[in-house]
Amino acid sequence: MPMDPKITKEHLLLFIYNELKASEVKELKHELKYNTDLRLEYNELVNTVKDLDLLWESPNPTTLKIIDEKAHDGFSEMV
Amino acid sequence: MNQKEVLGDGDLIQQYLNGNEAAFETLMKRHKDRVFTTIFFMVNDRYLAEDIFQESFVKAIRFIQAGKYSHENKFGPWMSRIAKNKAIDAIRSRKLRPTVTDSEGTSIFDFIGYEDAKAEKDMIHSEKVNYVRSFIHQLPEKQKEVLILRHYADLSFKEIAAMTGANINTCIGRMHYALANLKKVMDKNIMYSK
Repeated sequence: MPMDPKITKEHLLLFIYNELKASEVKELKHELKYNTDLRLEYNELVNTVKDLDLLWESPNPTTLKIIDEKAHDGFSEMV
Repeated sequence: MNQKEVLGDGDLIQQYLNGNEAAFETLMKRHKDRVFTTIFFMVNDRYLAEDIFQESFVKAIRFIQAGKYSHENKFGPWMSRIAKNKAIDAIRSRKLRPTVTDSEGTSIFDFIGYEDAKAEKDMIHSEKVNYVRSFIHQLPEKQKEVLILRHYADLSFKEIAAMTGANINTCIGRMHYALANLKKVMDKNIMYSK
């Protein structure tokens, strides 16, 4: 089934990143339910985005501790 | 349920200003990985990233304490912008050579330091993580810029458009091409590894 001409690949991207208007979300979800091609495109995008999540990094706990201490020091100065 | 987990960023900042010292820790824990990953992608040096991360949050603390914070629940993007600017300052001062430019011609991502063997040794990643990271660095610069700012820095496409001077539809298009290219090279890599 061809993609609804009103729905573009850019709409899928906005949907994935939660930037699509509420009215368009409803329309897109409906289209995803029945449009196999669109669903395939959506799944491919989601899978690629998931791969990006492999690269999350965390700061060293010592760094967090130093920042927290500075936040508390500043707080003590404030009150 | 921990009440802090459902509070918005603006509420946590207000609690911090009202004397709840733990509120800032909650706020920092909520955003630490997003901010740190963005910095790390920009400078590609873990130790430098730790320094910039620390400087960025201390700057944010001082700003909040001075009563200048007014971004309601937009703390994440605000924090990312502080971190991005701090990273650019560090890049300038260390004369690293970025290859991506913003609307003012300022270079942002991808540096000579990326090839630094020491930095590579400092990172412990799985093979796939290394593949994905290298694929991202192989993307055309404009696509890489949007991908990092959208996915890791959590800036909206509208905010990225304002930051880079590009049209919002152009930014969305670049993100789409970035993901498509990423998928293409990864598919190719899987074929080669068979």
